[in-house]
Amino acid sequence: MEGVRGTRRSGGAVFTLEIAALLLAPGALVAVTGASGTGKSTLLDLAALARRPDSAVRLEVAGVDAAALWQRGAGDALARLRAQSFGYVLQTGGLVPFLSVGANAALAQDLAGRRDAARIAALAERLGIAGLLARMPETLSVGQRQRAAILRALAHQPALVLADEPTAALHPEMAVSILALLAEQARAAGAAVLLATHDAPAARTAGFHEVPLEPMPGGAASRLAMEALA
Amino acid sequence: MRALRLALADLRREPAFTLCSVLALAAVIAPLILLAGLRAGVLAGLREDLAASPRAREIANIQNLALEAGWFAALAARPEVGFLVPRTRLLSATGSLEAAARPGRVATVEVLPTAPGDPLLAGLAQPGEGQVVLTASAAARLGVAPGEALRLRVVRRIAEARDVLALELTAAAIAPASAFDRDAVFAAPALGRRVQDFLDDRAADAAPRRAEGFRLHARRLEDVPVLVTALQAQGIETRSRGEDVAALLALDRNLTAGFAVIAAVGAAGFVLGLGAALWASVARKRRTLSLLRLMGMRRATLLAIPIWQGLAYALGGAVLGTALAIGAAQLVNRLALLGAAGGRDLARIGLGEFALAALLAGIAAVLASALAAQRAASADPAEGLRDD
Repeated sequence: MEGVRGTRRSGGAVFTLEIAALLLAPGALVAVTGASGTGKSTLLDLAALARRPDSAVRLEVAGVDAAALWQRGAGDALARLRAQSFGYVLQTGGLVPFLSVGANAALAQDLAGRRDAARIAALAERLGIAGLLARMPETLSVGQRQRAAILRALAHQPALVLADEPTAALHPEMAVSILALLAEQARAAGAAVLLATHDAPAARTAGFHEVPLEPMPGGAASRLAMEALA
Repeated sequence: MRALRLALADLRREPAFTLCSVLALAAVIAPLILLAGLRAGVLAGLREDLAASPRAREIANIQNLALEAGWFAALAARPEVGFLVPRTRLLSATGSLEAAARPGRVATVEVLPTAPGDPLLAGLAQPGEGQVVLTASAAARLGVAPGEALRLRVVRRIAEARDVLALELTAAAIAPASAFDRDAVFAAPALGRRVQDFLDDRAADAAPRRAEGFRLHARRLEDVPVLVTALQAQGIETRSRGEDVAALLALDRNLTAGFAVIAAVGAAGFVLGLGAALWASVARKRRTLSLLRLMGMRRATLLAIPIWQGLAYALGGAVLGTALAIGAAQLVNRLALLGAAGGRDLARIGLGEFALAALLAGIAAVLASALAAQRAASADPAEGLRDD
């Protein structure tokens, strides 16, 4: 991302984020920290190609010009790019509630066009949830759900995992272990991770490079400038 | 098929909600199917009553005519005509018939023309030359069985002179009592013409005589009023059960119109009810749909999910509704048996009614799911990221 500006409206408030530069190399682990309202969610929305930028000098994902797709209004092309390039770990997992753990991971592979049942089994084994593949999300504990979310996020070998407060609902000790697991498995898969969190110490402990988002003078906008990390 | 799999997986996750929706739709569908079954049963019963007697399709002239061969060819070419044969003067070609084995036991019989395909003699041997088929009443009066020899005597008086035409015949078959209720014999048209020529003292080698009437049967019940009208237009007065048939057809039209009005009201309720249920379901699952969009699902796939769910509800409603309607129909038929339905089913629900219900419910489901589908397809991927 280069020269990208985005705006997010929530509950009557308007958050503006200016991204001077953000380049994530394979295996990069970046934790964006900051108080509420500094633009963490806006950053994730823009990075996930889920929010149209107000302007963008360069917005590129896996070599594809995403800014041009936004300009053309090519919603399905953006969706395909999301399916192939991104994985998600959300606050309480963000699993599809009517699919089993295994089916959630299979759906991510299916949407990316990379079906590989053996990879799901191997990854589930490494995450310690091999016995939970047939379980529905609602029957899992929060910790199990986050492991299942990591499984789904990495099942289709994406370039980037976007994680939005994945440890907010976890015990502090478990928070570190989940982030460490995410970092370890993402590195093993060659995927970068962009993490938005309030829990900077846990992120640092798990090996993430912390990038604090600071409000700009005036308070209604933040600015992010970060060079490549690997 | 991805949309179908996801749609069904979602329905399976909420069995109670799914069952309630299906039950609500079945409650709309069942009375409509029962009503359709009652309409079909009532009409079919009346139709069977009429169709059971081939005479229901019979059209007879009530005055003597003079009809050329060309007239018969033109009438026979009409698609409504099932059987047509020329006949002689009304109530004229008559004679005294007796069994050769029992002389003195006589019946005065009309000689009626017949031909292959005669609906009154369906399933009986066609009488050849010198053969006749006796009506049941004539056969009973003479005590005749098929194969017996018969003698037909026709008497004429010309200038006080008494002439007799005696013909040796064979009984080819006995017609059922429903075919004709008077004493008569069915024979090839030549026999009737010969009797008529004798009574008229007309030479056999004279120019071909014109037919003075006809025996006509419509192909279907619905064709009777059409043919009666066509003959009336030619100035030919007829006798038929056309009014009965016309009344049946009018009842059919009226019941169909009434059913259509009730079905339209029911269908509107079905579409509104299902539409509201699907709309509410999409509203409840908006975040999940947004998550699917975030994960990269195409807009068309999201659009199809509520449509598949609507179709699943509709199919479930049609199956359950048909089952309920069949149960109710059996109750109605049982009550009708105790009453005065003559042992016939008052309500008839078959595969056709189910197929029609499933088809219409499917079409209504697609209509009903349109708004919900549109809403699902517009799911915002950014909403999928918010998991709190």
